[in-house]
Amino acid sequence: MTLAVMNNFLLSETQQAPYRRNRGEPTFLEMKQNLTIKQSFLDAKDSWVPLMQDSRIRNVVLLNSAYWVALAGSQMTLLPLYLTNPEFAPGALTAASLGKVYAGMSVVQVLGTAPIAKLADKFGKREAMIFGCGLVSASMAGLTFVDSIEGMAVTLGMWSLGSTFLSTAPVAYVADVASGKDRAQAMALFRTFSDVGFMAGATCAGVFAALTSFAPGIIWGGGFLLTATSVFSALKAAEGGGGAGGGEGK
Amino acid sequence: MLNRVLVPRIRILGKLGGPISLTRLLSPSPSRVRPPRPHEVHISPLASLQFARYSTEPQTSGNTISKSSISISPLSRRELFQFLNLESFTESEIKDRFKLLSHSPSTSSTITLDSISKYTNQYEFENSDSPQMAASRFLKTFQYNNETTKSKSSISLEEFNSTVTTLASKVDVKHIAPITLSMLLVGSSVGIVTPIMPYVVESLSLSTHDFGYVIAAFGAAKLLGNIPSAILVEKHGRKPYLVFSLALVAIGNGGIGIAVGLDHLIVLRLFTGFGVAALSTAATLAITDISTPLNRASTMAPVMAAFSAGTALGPAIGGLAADSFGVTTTFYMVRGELEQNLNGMVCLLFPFD
Repeated sequence: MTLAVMNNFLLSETQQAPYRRNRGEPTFLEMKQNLTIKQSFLDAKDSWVPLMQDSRIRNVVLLNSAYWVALAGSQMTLLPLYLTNPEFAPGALTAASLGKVYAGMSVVQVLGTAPIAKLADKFGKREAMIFGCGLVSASMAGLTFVDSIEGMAVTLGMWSLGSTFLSTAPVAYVADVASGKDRAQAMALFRTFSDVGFMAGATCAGVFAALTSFAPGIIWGGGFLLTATSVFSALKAAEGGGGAGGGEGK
Repeated sequence: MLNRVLVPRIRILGKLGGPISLTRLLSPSPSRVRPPRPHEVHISPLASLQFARYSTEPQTSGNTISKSSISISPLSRRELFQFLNLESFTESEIKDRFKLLSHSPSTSSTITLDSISKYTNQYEFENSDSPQMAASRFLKTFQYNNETTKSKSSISLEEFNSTVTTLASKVDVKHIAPITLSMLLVGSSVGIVTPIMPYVVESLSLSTHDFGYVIAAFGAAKLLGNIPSAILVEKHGRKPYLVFSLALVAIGNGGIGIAVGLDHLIVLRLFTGFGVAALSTAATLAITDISTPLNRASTMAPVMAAFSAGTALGPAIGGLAADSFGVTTTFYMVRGELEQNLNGMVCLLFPFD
């Protein structure tokens, strides 16, 4: 509540009318604001199909969804169970040690987000996504083979670094390629697919681990992500161009 | 309308010997007029003269402006990018805009006030800027932001490209700081709940199955809230949802302290889920508004990092707070209303733990 009051004073509205407009024509912002809620919903619904027909948006939305399937399944569901299980080669971790592992992963993400985002802006967001997904899937597969705590630290550090590449690049890319009038719905679709991936990933990993064990479940997550990344890379290569940073693909 | 924007930007050196704001001359309510920005500096003599050339049309609702000395504010970054209608910010797009403004297919030509005015005459501008004013402000932007074009009245492709690229790559720290702080605190408040939920479940005698429903309620609300949030944020603007969604999160989290059954918990988690969906949508779109493809990931980075830091710190804070103050009080602390709220007294009198 305090923060809500504070925000009311600190924040300024960022959605503003465009400075330049065609003579006598309303801007899309004015048109959107004049719609009723019902019309706005219908308008939004009409934008989903064209948005998903845009291969640049569709491929990134689907890769990000696959990433969340793998992350929710492997990192959030199976990893804590695996690390605290005697099945884990270096020895089962205690709850306190597990807390330290997750804290360490968060530290990598917090410290790495800004420099990695700069790299994504400079060298390309899709390239950053491919690299990040590759790092995460390699770490997922590699973790089940480590036999020392040091090895675990390095693998989980790489895992976390890979996740950091995915924290800003996909959403920024979707915002870049969606046109101003469809951007809000593009972001909503992106987020919805991520949430679906998250829920599906946790469920699938749980079922898979119940049928096999934790390690194959984690490897399955890595394999799934690697497959999705390979398909994404192949489609990107087939599309051609757009390798640079910034407004790539436009 | 004209006065509101044009007036603070234009000052005339009056007979009294100093700059006199036109606000006093033209506006009946000067208090509503935005004060001049610190960077609203006097234009170079050459550009002033050129502006005067174009200001022969009445620009101030019948009031004439002296041509003696006029100051024009540069365009803000946002105005500049909208003026140029830049979307992808690729080199080819920037070059296209240069050709459009210089009215020449050659990249060795320059942009002058004349050539810009040909472009601005085709459009209308916000803040009641006339095409001439918009052209002068555009030129002023390059004089203000690029040392090499400081005293020039023409812009080459190289200068145009470097100024646009530099401005588009700069991260707007001033605007992202409050959003970052919000996300840090929201991340913490979401994280704080995690270690305390098992105690709530125990105190309400809920089964694991019921706990699953409580967790799923948050996920479902977030999932279902994304699309309506985007529609509403687009319709009403970002700010209302950056403010009111926090209130929703506060009610959702704080209310858990006084929940007495499964249905209460589910409803409260739905509140939190919808609040987080609206907040994330509004925050992301606000960041998108103030960024360009050249700095979008960098602009989003502090916000994302803050949310990650918040969710990482939250469980630790929650665990410590629950140990020190008790579960119910901790939920009230998240809501931030403990001292002023009557319910706070109820929770202290009838704590769960």
